[in-house]
Amino acid sequence: MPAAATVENVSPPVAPGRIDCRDVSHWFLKDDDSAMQILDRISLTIEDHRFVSLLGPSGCGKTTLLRAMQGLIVPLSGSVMIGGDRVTGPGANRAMVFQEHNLLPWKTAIENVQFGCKLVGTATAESRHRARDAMALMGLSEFENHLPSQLSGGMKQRVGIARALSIRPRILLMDEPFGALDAQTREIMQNELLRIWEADRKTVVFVTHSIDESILLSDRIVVMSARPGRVAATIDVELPRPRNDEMRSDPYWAALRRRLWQLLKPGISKVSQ
Amino acid sequence: MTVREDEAPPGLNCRPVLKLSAWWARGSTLSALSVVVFLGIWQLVTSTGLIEPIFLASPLAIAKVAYEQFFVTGDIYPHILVSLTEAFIGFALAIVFGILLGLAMGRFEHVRQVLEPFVMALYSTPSVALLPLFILWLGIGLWSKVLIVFLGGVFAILVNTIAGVRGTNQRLIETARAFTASETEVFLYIILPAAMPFIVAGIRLAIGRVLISVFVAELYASNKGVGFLITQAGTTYNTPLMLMGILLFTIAGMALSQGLSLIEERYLSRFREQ
Repeated sequence: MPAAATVENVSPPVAPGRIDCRDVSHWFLKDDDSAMQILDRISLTIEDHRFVSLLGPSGCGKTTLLRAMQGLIVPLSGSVMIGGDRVTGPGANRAMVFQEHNLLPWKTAIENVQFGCKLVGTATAESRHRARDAMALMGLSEFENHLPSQLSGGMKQRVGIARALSIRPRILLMDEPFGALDAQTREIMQNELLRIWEADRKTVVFVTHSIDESILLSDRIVVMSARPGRVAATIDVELPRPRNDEMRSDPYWAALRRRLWQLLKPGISKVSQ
Repeated sequence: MTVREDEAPPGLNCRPVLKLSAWWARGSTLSALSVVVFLGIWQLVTSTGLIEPIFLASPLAIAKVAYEQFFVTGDIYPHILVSLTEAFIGFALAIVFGILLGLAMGRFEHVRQVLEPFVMALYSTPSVALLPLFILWLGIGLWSKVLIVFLGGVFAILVNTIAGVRGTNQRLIETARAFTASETEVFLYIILPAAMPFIVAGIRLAIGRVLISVFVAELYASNKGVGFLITQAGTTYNTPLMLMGILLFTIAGMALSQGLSLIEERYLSRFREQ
């Protein structure tokens, strides 16, 4: 599927699906009006067409960083650039998949998918067509007219992904999309995501706290330390594509897993104290 | 794991049997039957003189009065017209203002902070206590009563609408924003539908209050209306007429409530929180 978005490039040319974070820092106001630092001078570059995971313990600010990329928040210091343009608000060149499916309970599955298209300004006929395509891609064609309450957790998450795909974004931002699913469904969804991603290789930023999930899916893993969130390490995953579950028994996997765990451990013990 | 039949605890291995319940045991039949029995007993205790007719008229006596009022003299129609007009205008205004004000107060913190003291004060004041004041302002005609009916109904709708707007799932709002929704789109497509069940619940609550307000307003100062008719029948010991008037209120309340349920079932069942 060719990417529809074209961006007028300034020199030097920047790929439209590239994300640059420059010294991103952010604070939240606590109840007692004191500021709590969430992100501390995060600088990282995510190249076009890469699958990158943000791995870290809960509360390390990985979701906040993702929200800054989407434009739901503007960091108090530093900047997020997408395709060379500074992010100041949500944009249609990127789409978000949430941990909770966040479907409108009063709309059917296909209406939910279409709703995303409608908001980004796609014409009705075209959005219906796109919604159908995205539903078919997620294997949901039979469930188009079901309300979310009639769907299982995994299917709701599929609708959430279909909604994101239907706006044909350059970049997919996924916030622990499989975190709320049971183990089996989770594995099925990971393989589905791999299959879909292989087809057109959008840039994906995938937030997770599962080491195995990040190894299976990513080209690169950004390990974050907790509170305030910093980039602890950036590790390339040198497993061939297409990936599959067999690779879990690869010695490389075990070694990488151990290394990531070593990197995560200090952050986790710090949080749990 | 399998359980052999002889191991299963008794009672678990008997198959469930799908069977239609007997005709007399169906919900609607039972309800109708209980009403008929009740009317029968009522008729019995009144016609045998167990209860003096001046204290409780028999169902037949009420039916007779109703027949005369509706089909012979037609005296009842002006009363119904007056009461319906008061109820209709007051209720309609309550719905319109309750929803609009509730949406504004739920959506905009500043609007809520400015209006909240007055809303709380008026909500806490028994609105019928203001009737003498309203009569002073508007006279004993239609509009003082409309105002009372309006005040009786508006707060239930207003308070519920505010709760519905403020209770909207923040994650749905954020999702719409992530898909570049404007504030107007968030309001139209997320907040309004999410508040819908609350608004309907408010309107349902308001039905009872509107009817009470109509009655009390006519009780206090009027020369027409079903409430006035009940009062007048009471003071002249015309018990059948009085009970017929009360029944009219009952029927109005039930009809409104049922009508709302129908609309809800038909158009709004989707919006109920899952």
